[in-house]
Amino acid sequence: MVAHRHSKRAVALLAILVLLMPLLAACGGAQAPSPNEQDQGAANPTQTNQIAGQPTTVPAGTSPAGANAAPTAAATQPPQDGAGLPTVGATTTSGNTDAAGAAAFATGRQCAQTGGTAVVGFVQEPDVLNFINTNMTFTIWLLGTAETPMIQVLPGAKLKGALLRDVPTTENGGITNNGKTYTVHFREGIKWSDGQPITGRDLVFTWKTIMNPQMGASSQLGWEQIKNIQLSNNDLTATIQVKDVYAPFLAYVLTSWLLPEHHLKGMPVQQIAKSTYSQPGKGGAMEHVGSGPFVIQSWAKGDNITAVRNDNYFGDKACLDKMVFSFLKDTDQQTSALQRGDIDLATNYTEGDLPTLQQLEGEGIQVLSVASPGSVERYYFNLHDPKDPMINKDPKKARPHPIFSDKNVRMAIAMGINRPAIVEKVLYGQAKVAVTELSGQEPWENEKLQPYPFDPNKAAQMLDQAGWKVGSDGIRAKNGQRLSFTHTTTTPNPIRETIQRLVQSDLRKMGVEMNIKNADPNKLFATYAEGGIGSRRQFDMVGWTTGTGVLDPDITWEFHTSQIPRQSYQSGSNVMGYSKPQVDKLLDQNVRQPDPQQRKQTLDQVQQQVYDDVPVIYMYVRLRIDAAGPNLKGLTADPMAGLWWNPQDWYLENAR
Amino acid sequence: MDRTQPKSTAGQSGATADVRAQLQAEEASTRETLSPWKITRRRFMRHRLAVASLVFFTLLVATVFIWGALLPEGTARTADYDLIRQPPSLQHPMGTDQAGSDVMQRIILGGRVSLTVGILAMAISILLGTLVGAVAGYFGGGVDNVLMRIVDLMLSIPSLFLLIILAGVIGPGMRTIILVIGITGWMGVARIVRANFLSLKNKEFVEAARSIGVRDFPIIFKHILPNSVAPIIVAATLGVAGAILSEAYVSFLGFGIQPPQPSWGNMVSPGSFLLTITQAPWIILFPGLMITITVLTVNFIGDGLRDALDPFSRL
Amino acid sequence: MVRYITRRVLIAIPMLLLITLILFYAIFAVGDPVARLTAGNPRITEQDIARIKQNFGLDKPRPLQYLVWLGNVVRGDFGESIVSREPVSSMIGRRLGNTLILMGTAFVVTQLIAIPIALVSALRQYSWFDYLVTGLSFVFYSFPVFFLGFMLLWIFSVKFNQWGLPSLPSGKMYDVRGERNLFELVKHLVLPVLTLALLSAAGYVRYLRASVLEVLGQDYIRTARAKGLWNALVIRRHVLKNAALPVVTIMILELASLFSGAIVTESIFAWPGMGSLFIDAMGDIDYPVLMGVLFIATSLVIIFNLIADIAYAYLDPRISYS
Repeated sequence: MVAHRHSKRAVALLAILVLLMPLLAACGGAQAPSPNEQDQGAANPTQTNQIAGQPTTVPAGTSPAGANAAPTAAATQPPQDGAGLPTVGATTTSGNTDAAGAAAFATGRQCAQTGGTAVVGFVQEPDVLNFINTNMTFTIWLLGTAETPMIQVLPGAKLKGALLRDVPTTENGGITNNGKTYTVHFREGIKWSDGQPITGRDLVFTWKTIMNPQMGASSQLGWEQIKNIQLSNNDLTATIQVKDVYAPFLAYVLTSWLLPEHHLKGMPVQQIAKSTYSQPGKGGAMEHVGSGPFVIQSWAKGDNITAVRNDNYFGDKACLDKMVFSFLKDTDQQTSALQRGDIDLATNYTEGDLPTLQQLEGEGIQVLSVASPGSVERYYFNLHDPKDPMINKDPKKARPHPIFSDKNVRMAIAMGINRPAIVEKVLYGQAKVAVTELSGQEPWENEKLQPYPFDPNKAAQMLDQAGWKVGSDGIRAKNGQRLSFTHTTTTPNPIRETIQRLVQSDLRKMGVEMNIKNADPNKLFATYAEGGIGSRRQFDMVGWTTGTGVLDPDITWEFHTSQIPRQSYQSGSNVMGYSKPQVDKLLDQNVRQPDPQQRKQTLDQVQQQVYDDVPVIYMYVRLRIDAAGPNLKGLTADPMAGLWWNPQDWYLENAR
Repeated sequence: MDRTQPKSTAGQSGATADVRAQLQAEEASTRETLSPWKITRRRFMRHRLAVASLVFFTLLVATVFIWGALLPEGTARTADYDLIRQPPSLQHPMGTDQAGSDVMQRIILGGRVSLTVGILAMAISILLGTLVGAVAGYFGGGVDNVLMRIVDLMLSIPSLFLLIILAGVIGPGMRTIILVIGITGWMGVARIVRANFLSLKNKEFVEAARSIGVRDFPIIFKHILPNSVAPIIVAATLGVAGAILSEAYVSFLGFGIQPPQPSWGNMVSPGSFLLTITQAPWIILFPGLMITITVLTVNFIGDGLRDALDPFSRL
Repeated sequence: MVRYITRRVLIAIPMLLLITLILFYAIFAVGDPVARLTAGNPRITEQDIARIKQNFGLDKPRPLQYLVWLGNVVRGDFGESIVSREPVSSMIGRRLGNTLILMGTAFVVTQLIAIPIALVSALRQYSWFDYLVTGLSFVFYSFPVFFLGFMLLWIFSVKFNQWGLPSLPSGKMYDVRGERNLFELVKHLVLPVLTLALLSAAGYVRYLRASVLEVLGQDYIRTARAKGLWNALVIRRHVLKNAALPVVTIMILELASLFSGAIVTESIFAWPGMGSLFIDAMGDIDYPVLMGVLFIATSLVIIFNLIADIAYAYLDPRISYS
C-alpha cells in the first residue's frame, strides 16, 4: 500500500473535487469595588453612611460595575446566558459631603492579617483585559480587583461615589435641566496605579473611545446618549449633556470604570485591545494602568494572571500581597484543586453543584451562595406560529401559535409546573421561585404579585374549559391539534436538562406533551442573519436566563412591540412576540421618568400586565455560587453587590 | 485512541495464539471432512472468551431491546421530585439519578441508543468503506487515485477533531450521531478492502469470469467480494466497539446525543464527573461499566472472529 | 526515493488546501461567532452587531473571508482570536510545545511499557503472565479514555489527598504556588501520561506480541537457533529487527492518533495544550483559532504519515517506489 502510483491525473481530479466543495458547504460591569467602612474584613457593609453621609433611600438606577455581571458567553458553563449589564435599582448613599479627596474614601480599617497570595480558580480564561471590549463574566470579575468605578454599588444596593465625590441627584444639584444635565465631581488627589491623577479627562477619553466604531466596544449602551461633556478648569468637574431624558443613564454610564487617558491617548484605538494594557507583552508582562486595590502585573496565557497590591490605591490598601487567577478547565478541576488547597477560591458553580458543595462544607470549605437578582431563568412562550414565514417578515400579521395563543392554556401550563418542588428539591431550597422580570430586585419588583400557584387540578380544569380534551393517547387535543409542543434550551447544561425532565413529567400528568429539542448556545443565540433560533423565533417554548442585571430596571427590550425580532429589526429580545399598546406606552414612559417614585409605579403596572398575560413563565431567580477554602476570609457575597466588591478586604489566615 | 478503524488485519492480535496451535493440531486430523464455515465455527468455538462474550453480548442486546420495548411508553420521561439521587435499593437496583429517574431503566433505554448507534454507524462505515475500497481496488488508475486521496484526506484530520466539527455542523441527535460516526469511520475498511481487491482482481477465477463476459459490477460483488468477507466481518465487529466509544467521547465533550434522551455516553458525562461521583457515584459508575464491558465483549468477539476467519493468521 | 518524497509533498499541498476550505465552511456551519457576544445580552442593538461584525471582517462574503484567511496563512499569519484578540500563531506556539511534551512522554512511556511486556509475553506464550497481559490489554483497550482518566484523578489525586497519602496533582503543568522545575513537571505529567499510555499500550502490546510470535515461527529463526545461536542474540538480531517492521508504521501512526487522545486527556487534566485550546475555541466558534489548530494538527498528521512511509522504505528494502 505504500507504493501508491500517483498519476498526474490525480491532481486534476482533485481540482474537480474542489469544484464540488460548495455542495459540502451547503450542508452545512461587574465590579463594585468598595470601601468597606468596617474594620475587619467585610463585616458589615451596610454601614456606609459613616462616610458617605446620610444614605437616602432613593431608588435610582445604578451601577455597571455592578454585581451581577452577566452575559456569560453562551458557550460555556453559563449560569446566566447573559444578563445584560449588571446591577441595582437602589439606594444611594449620596448626599452632600465627603471631604472630596482620596483620604475620605479610605476608612482606615486595619487588616486582620496582611500579606500572602490568594489563588482564585477561573474555569475560563479572561479574554481582553479592558472593560470596553469584553463581555465575559470572568474578565469583569477580575477587572473588579483592578478598577474602581465612578459610582459603586455596595451590599444592600447602596450607591456610593467612588472616583466621584458623590452620587448626582436632583437634590444635590447633580442632575439638572429636567434630567438632561449631569454634573459630577471627581475626588481630588486620587491616582491611577502609575501615580498619575484621575480626572474628568479620563471620562471624556473613555466616552470618545467607546463611541469610536473602530474600538469594537461590546456595547455602547448609555454612552451614545451623551451629547457633550464639559470640564472645569481643574478637570475635576464634568458637566454631561445628554441628548434626551434617559433614566438609566446614571446606571449605565456613571457606574462605569474609566480608561486612563494619559496612558492610552497616543495609541490608535484599534491597538488598545492588543496593547499591553489589555494583553500580555513579552514574558507575560502587563502595563494595565488601573484604579483598583490591585494592579494587574502579569498574564501567563493559558495559565494565570497575577495582580499585586496597588500602593497608589486611594481607598484602604489591600490586605493580600497578591491575587493569582489560575485557569482550570472545568468545575471538576476547580473542585479538586480547592479540596487539595491548591486554590483558595473557586468560582462560578451552578445550582446543580450545590449538594456536593454542601458536603464539602464539612471539610471547611465556605460555600458562598447568593441570589443573583436581575438574572432570572424563564421559559418563553412563542405567541406566534413559528412555521408561518410571516413571523419573520411581519410579526403583526403572523398566524397566532396554535396552542399558546390562548392565555388560559399558558396559565394552565404555568400552574402545572411544580416550581416550588424544583426550587426545593433540585435547587436545595437555595433559590426562589421568580414572579416577574424584576424578581429579587428591590425596590423595583412588584411585591403585590405572588407566583402562579402550583395547582395541577385547576390547571387541568382550565384546559378542559378551553376545549382541550384528553385523547386516547393520554394527550389533550382540540380540533385535531394535539397539546404537544417542543421545548428548547441550551445544551449541554445538566441542571437545565434535569429541570426539563421534571417539567416534562409534570405536564405529562395533565395531558400535555412536552418534547425536548435542545440547541447549542451558538445556534440558539446566533444573530438573525445567521439564523439564530431565538432571533428567528423558531421555537414553541424556549428556556434561558436573562434579565436586567441589577443595573437599571429598563425592561423595554423584553416586552416592547418594537423589540420583536424580525427582518426589519433583527436584534430585538422580545422573542415571545408580546405586543400590547398599553405596555408599550408604559415602557416608553419608564425610561423618560427620572423620578424613581414615578418609575416604580410605571414598572408595577408593566409587571402586573405581563403577569396577567403570562407570555413567559419565570422559573427562579438564579444563584451565584462560589466556594472558598478554609483560609481565605473577609468575603461577603451580596445579591446586589456580588462577591467582587471588596477584594481589598480579603485576607488569608495563616498567610502563605 | 483512534479506535474507529481497525488498524490493519495484517497485524493479528495473537491474543489466542495458544488456541490456534491446538486448532492446527486438531484440524490436521479432521480437515478433510469439514466445510470452511464449519472450520470457522469450530475455531471460533475454541476461543472461550469470544464465545462467552458472544453469549453475553447476545443476551445484552436481547435484554436491552426486548426489555426496552416492554417498558411502558414514556418511561424515558419519568422523573420524580421525591426520588432524586437515591442510592441503589431493591426498587432501584442501580439507584436513581438527578431527576429521580431509575438508573437501570435509563441504562436499558440508553443501551438501545448506544447499541443502535454502534451497530448502525458501523454499518454505514462498512458499506461506505467496502464500496469505496472495492471500486478503488478493482478499477485502479484514476478512480483509485481519487478515492484513495479522499481516504488520505479524511485520515489527515485527527479523528476526534473531525467528529466534533461534524457533530457541530449537523447538530445533536441520534440520527446525526450515527451519520457522523459512520462517515468518519469508513476509511480503514476502505483500505483493507482495496488491498484485498488488488490482490484478488488478477486471480484466475476473476480472469475466467471476465473472459466469459461477466460485467464489472457483478464481478465485484459476486466474485471478489465474497472472498474479502473475512476481514470485513472482523472490521465490522471491531467497528461496533469503536462506534460505541466514539459516541461516548463525543457526548463527554458535549457534542453527542443530548439529554434527556439517555445514551450511555451522556449518562457518564453528567456535567461534572467529580462532583457527581462524590455525591452519587452510582449515577456514573453503572453506565461507565456498561460501556467498558460492552466494548470489551465486542473486542473479544472480534478477536475470536479474526482467529477463526482470517486465513493469514495461521501461524 | 527523492522523487517519491517530492511527489508526496506535492500531493499533500492541494490536499491541505482542500481540507482547510472544507473546514472553513464547516466551522461556520457549527454556529455563529457573534453569538458569544450577543448571547443573552438583551440590550444589544443592531448597530452593535453590525459594528462587531465589521470589526472581525465577518461582514464580507464567506468565499472572500476564506481567501483573506488563506492569503494571510501563506504569509505565515493565522489571524487573531476573536475572543482574546491575540495572534493565533502565538496562542498555538505556546500550546503546541505542551501538547508535544504530553504526547512525546506518553509515546515513550507506551514503548517502555509495551515492548518488554510484549516480548516477554510472546516468548513465554501460554504462561500466566501471557494470559494476564492479554486480558489486561483487552480491558484497558475497552476503557473510554475519560472514564479511566477521571477514575485515576479521583483516586490518586482527590482520595489519596483525603486519606492523607502522598497524592498527585489534579491538573495543569505546574502548581500555582509551587516551583516550576522539571520535578514538578514530571509530577504533573504522571496522571495524564498514564491515562494516555495505558490505553495506547493496550492496543499496541497486542500488535507487537502478534508480530513477535509471527517472526518466531519463521524458518530463519529456527535455522538461527539450530545453528546454535545464543537465544538472546537471536532475539536481538533477528526477532526484534523483523518484528519491528510492521510495528514501526503503527508506532508512527499511533503518534498521530495520540493527538486525538490528547483532546480528551487535556480536557480532564487542564493541560494547557492544543486539545483544550480547540475545545475552548469550539465553544466560542473562535474560527481563526480553530482553523489554526486544525491546520497544524492536519499538517502534523500528514508529516507523520510521510515519515512512516519513508521509515518503512528504509526498513524494508523490498518496497520499491516507482
